[in-house]
Amino acid sequence: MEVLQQLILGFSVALTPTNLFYCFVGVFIGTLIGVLPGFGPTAGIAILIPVSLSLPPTTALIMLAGIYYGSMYGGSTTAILINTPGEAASIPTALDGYKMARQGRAGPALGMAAISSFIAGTFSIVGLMLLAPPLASVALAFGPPEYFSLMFLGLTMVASLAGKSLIKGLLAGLFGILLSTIGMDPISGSERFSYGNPDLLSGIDFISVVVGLFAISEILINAEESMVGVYETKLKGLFPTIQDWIDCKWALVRSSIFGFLIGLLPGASASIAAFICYDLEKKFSKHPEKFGEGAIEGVAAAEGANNAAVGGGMVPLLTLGIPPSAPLAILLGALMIHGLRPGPLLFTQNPDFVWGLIASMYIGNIMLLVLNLPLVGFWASMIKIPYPILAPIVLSLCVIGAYGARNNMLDVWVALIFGVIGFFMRKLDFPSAPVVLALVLAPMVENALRQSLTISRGNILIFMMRPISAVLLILAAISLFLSIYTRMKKSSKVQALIESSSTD
Amino acid sequence: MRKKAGLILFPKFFYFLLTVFLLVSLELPPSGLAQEYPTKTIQLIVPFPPGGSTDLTGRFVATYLSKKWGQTISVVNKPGAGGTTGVMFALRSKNDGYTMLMDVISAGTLNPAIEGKLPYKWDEPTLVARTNISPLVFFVKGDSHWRNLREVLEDVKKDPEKFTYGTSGLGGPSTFSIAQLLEAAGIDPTKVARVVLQGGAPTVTNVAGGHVDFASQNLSEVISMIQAKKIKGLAVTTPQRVKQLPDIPTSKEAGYPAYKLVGWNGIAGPANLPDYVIKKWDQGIREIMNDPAFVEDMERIGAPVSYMGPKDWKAVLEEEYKSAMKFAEKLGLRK
Repeated sequence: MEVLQQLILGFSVALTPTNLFYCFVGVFIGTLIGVLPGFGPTAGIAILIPVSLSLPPTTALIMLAGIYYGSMYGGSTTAILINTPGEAASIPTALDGYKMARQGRAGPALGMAAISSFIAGTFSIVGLMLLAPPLASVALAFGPPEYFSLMFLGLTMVASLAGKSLIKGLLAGLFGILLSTIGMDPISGSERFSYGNPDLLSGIDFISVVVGLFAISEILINAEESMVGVYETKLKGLFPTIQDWIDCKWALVRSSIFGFLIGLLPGASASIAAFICYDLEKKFSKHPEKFGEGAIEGVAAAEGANNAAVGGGMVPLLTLGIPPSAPLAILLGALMIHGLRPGPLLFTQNPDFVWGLIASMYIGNIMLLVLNLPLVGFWASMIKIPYPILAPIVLSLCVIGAYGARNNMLDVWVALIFGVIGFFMRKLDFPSAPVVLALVLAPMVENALRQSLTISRGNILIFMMRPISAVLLILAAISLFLSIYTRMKKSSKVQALIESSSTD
Repeated sequence: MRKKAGLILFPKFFYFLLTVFLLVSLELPPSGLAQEYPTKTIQLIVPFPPGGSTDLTGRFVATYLSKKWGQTISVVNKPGAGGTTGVMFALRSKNDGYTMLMDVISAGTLNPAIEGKLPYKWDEPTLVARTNISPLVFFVKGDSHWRNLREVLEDVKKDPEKFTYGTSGLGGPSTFSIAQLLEAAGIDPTKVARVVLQGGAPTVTNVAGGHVDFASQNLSEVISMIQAKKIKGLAVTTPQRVKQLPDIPTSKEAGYPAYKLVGWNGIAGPANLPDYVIKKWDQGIREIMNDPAFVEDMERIGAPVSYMGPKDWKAVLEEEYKSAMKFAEKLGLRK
């Protein structure tokens, strides 16, 4: 009952006209930021911090948090329509969403993305509300060995993202791991593959690689094919059908729960939640061969997970003052600028702020649904824009996005070069997703491995002696076994199916 | 007729005006600039991603000075390579005062001490004014049996290879301050395992979760966890106790005065900044230091204001750099 009282207090704060207005401003800007590739919530929140200084703290944070979860909604739009994930967290969305768009089902894909975002987002706020204090200790239980095992579990997903050929998928994953070693060695500080170039010293940014491998290579492929026919498919319906709902029901439940739990862990963040839930859905599915070919469950799982991770991430941020991801680190900064010090005492010292913010997230999620559902028709009709007009617009967005991530010109060149690499990878049937997955995970695996071995003074058994870590490693083994087993068992049947339904 | 003549005449007059305007705006002699600096938006480079205390300091300085000068100062984050990317961007920019750097101890003196091949020297940027200090706090797990600094160090001294400490990066104040402390206690710093973590927050959680034994971090990063008793602060590096955590003794009170490294932020710029730019910024910083609202804002982020002018600051940094060199070599960090 105490929670209910506090929630009523929260709504009384969040429902004042000013707070409602700024909540709307936040989620609206967030949606826009999510739609623009590369221009992420991190930069968006940072730019608006000075503006927020003139607002009362609660109002300011309601707006800034709105930008964050709003961007998770928006990120799916470009992923589905033009194969350009606005955020790393939307990469798994693009895998099936874009295929759906090309089959004329952009509307249902966008609709399901918005709906699953709403459901999972709301679920995670309930989780945040009820479980914040007890869950805070989960984040503390994760030390380097636990992170290593979690990220290792993540790396086993390469096997299921591999597509037609396991060998090609593994090679793509290895390529991603190699790319991640460019730059300064995080533990000893030695230079690796930077050839004295100070820009390369800070490594290859994965945003620019994503933009190149997914968006620019897509433009190149389409430019090579006859440009006109690319999007000639008719729009088949704007909203998910009853069958779509039935297909997605478990994806919605699973992604809500697992997205929230993964979001709790500092460092794991929304993108890893999206990848893991996408993979999980594929493993649970009766027809895993449809994944990557336009399965609506894939879209629902990925978008649900990255939104659920937002609520999960707020738990360590508010209760421990630990930001699990970059955008939340900026929110932490914003909190401190406004004189609010996150930590276990925040809930007792500033209840009106905490509960006002939580209540505003409920309201913001409803606003996002209302904002996004009518836009589905508008966005979906965007794919009717003739490609010769759309392509240059997308290309310029790509360049801006690549530059915007770190304000660095090198990233633009990286994006362009990876556009060409992506083009040839597609020609040779190498999947791109494992490259990005490995690029995101490998540095964390490397750090956690070396940190763990420093702690254990070189004893590798540390990973098996700590219970959480041991369980995660066993899960990794099961995941690997399942991926290979299903591949073997169904290989002949699946192979035939994939090849007949494959569009490129 | 008249109408037509007007149409023809207007462009000529217009072009004349345009030419004059362009000449005036582009060809202003530098002496004219000195009077009116700043006449356009200034970029303040923060060599880290948004959200950290250097970034927040930059944003406060930018907000308050923009208001005072009536000119926008925009904070631009250029993260990468432990600060080197941002510093190099500022150093390669024109020294006209429109690209300035929010400097910090790690990029200022500690990285140059570690990295022999760093593309800049510690004294290459023009130092303008120090804005604040960042006290460091030594801490252990919240429910640790250690009650004070002396107990920790006595245990570590008995068997240094049994213990681990976390640092928020390769070098940085969290590494150097622990080295200072261990050496003062007569312990070989290389014997205790140093776990390099990725940032201040993971360092705090790793101590709170019992994954490493102790660490030394910026005040701003530890306050809330100390208040919540998830970690226990045993000493601060400043000569006086800090306002936010009055129960924590100074390192001198705890018996180890040599544990005294204190982080800082300050305004710097490309080499050979003109005098009028230095003066303007130095004066501006001094003015906002007298603004109680600025002082309060900085206090809140755990970075109390502490002004130091160009000359004094350089002398302090020279000493800091020399001492860092000594420890970098001792720890085998120098490359």
